[in-house]
Amino acid sequence: MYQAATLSNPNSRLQAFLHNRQESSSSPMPRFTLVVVLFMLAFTAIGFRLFWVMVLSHNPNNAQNKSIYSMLERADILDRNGDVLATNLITFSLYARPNQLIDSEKAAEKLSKLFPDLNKQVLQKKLSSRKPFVWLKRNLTPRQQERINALGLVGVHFQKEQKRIYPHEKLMAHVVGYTDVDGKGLSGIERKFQGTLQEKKEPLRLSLDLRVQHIVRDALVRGMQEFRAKKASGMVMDVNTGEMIAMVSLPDFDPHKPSSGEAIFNTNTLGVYEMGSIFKIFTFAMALDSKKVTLDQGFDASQPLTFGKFKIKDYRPKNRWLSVPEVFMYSSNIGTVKMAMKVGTEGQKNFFEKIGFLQPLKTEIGENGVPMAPREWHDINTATISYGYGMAVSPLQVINGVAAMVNGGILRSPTLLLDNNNDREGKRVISAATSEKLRRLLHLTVLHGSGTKGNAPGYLVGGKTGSANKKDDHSNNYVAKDKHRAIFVAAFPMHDPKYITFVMLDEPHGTSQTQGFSTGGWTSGPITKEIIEKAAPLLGVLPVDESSPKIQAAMRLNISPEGSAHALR
Amino acid sequence: MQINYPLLRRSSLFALIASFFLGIGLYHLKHKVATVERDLRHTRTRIMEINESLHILRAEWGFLNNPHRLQKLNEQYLHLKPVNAKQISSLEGMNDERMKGSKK
Repeated sequence: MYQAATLSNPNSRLQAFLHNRQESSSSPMPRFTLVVVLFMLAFTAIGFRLFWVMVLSHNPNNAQNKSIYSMLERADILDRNGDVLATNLITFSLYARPNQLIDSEKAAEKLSKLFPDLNKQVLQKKLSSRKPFVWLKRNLTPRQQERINALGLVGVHFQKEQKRIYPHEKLMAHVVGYTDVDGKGLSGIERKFQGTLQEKKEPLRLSLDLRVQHIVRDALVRGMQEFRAKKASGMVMDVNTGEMIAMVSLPDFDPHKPSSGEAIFNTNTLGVYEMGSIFKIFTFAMALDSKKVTLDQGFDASQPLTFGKFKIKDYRPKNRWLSVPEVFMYSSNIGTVKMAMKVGTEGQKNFFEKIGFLQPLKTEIGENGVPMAPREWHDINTATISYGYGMAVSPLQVINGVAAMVNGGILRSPTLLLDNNNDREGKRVISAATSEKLRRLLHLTVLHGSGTKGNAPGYLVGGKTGSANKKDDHSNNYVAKDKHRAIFVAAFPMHDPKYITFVMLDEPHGTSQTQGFSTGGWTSGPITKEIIEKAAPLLGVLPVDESSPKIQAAMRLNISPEGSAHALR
Repeated sequence: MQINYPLLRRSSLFALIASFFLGIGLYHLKHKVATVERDLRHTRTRIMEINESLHILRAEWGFLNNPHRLQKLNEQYLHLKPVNAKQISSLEGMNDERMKGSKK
């Protein structure tokens, strides 16, 4: 029947052909099955492939779904509150293809009318040149672009470009740094985080607080003017995390057009200076922690000390026996040297090694000054270092070291990134009890000693003044007395320190208001006071009643000579 | 003429009709997907554009919030002064013995 059916169709040549083939082969069915199976396999394969492409490897997040940050060439830099410190803006740059221009003279005239800063002759020269491509003006505003479009010129075109913008200009220049035209970081965070900013495309959060940074800079700018100082630097740091809240170095520069020279130099991290009496904090910490000196003791400060031909005097001598707290509050060199001598040269060297003053700091901005310390440490070195001469460290090392002295004795690495300190644990360098004693001494200095001008009542400030004589760069001798660095380090509130400030003026001059004095207490002191009073409310530090019994008890210190029971706070 | 061709068997007829309707269905689906995808592309472009303007606005906001500028504006129009420590008090301070004494 099958054969009859095929044969009965006279039009079907194919079927006849198949029929003949089937007749000639020994078994007709397997060949037919083979074809069917092959086709089925092919379709199954296609089906699987379709399933694979459409369902399994379908990713809704690829290709088109890019975020704005992946479009930008470089990630933003933000402050701790999310305010933008550096960002990229898409701008348009104007270029011309001179061979496409119809009337180069007219075009030059029209463009020079729009941009008074473009010289007509120069423009015309560019437009009539034989080059295939000439830049006319980079980074236009949208309005400028619109105006050029309205001119209807043939042969001028726009190129989309990205420009690095710093909304706060000078304010963050030293920390954030700057980039070159191609968006490559050349200094500060921009340089150190070059890779991260370009690859991760996520905003980088700094620990700095824009508002506090401004407060510090504003106070320093006015202080620098008032005291006619050459340079100024200031910092605010969180004593419990090591996060930098503010870091200002004056003179500064505009990161959009960085100058070369002195302004680029970040004095806080790169400069190393002899810190003068500020170092007495460390000498006291070292002596009290060694238990070789106690707060009830005292030293005879009536006679200058002599080391060979070297004489150590007090800046404003009391010429009498001084108790240990008095040595600190009146900043007596003689008393301090005697304390350091009790600990000895080896002890001092170990102490400075422990708080990291013999090595450069490691920070996120890469540029850090190398401290200077004596190669061979003799007794005379121990003596001068105890009150801040013969050893030079960076201001950042000082603020970080003093933070460890007041926060309960824990030294951490300073950081400029928010919530990212990998040294949060830190290491203990002095006992909590010693730290507590130092807090009382520092508060006493602000209340009754050399630091009264830095007191911001209500915030329980504690601090230490320093006025370091400057060395002549060439002769390496100390120059005239009126050329010095005036420094003030302060922490607040002293019963539970939260923040620490550092202010340094380079070569300040006294004014009639300071009765001609230009020392740390008189010049850097009032600046510190202003910074604390303005910044503390922003930083969430509540003022306390300094006369309350609780605070009185926490800050009590017996300072009277010869241990008579008279307590003064 | 015999009509017993294998092609016109009932199942084949069913397949033919089914493929016809499936073809129509598929065409509609494809069309719909194309429309939805165009919409999606459009929406994504819009999102991108809005994000871009947001980014620019944020930069502009940064410029407007420049503390130096704000301080100048304050000096010019508002004359606000920084908070003084004496203006802030705590509830704990209210409970102080000396405060009670002054009330008497």
